[in-house]
Amino acid sequence: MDGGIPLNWVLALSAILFSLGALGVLIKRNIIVMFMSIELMLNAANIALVAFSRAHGNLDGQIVVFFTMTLAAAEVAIGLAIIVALFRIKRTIDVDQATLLKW
Amino acid sequence: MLLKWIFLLVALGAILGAIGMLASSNPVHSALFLVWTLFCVAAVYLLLGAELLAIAQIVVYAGAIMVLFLFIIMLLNLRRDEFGLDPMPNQWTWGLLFTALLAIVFVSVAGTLAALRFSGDPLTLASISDLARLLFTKYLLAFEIASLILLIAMVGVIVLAKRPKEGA
Repeated sequence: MDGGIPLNWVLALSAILFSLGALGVLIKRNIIVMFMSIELMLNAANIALVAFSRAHGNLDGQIVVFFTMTLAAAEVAIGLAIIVALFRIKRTIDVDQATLLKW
Repeated sequence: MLLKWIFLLVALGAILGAIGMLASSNPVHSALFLVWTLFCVAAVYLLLGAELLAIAQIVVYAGAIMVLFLFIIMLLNLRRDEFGLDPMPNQWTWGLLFTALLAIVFVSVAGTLAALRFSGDPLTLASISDLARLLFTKYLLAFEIASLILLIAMVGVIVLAKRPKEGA
């Protein structure tokens, strides 16, 4: 990439951060930390979008990242409200206890 | 050359922050580690020439979203036993195995892409006005829909978090 940072370095960073986010969702049972891991995965995807946007010389990728941030804000607000509602009913944030739809 | 070293340093900081988030058992520490990682991601955006996104990252992610997380963690005021039990048997084994596979696939894909040659000139300095022009012409409809989604989320959060009426 124009003598600066190589594209594959940025993509490798994105891949590692995404994998760590996936690991967090898989090994944690605390729903808040799982939610933070999802945010980490969103950010990893955003890094890849910005890197490709730069490599292509095209601004559309940055616009997509802009919308991702907007939607992440909405998603976090709704998700945390669901967690609060779940905590009111179950008094726990352990995901294995969220079995209200199971019968 | 200097840029490469700065990038490596920032990338290392982001990865260490992510590992710290997973390693700490206290959710408040996890949230603070994630704030650090998000700041490092903002620095990556700066290095890639996306100034507006770097600022939005700090204001929206590291500012608003993480404050919301910390607020909820402190609002729930969890005791130690409410964090959940120990992981299920083999949860760590399978989680690590799956993640290792995922990482191998992603990193190998990232390695192959380096050989590709992209059409067009790489962006050197994308001015904020170019971004704004695109946002308010080509993506105007998406922009309006995004504002609608934020409104819906706001109303939805109030409905979800409101205490149910007595006897209802």
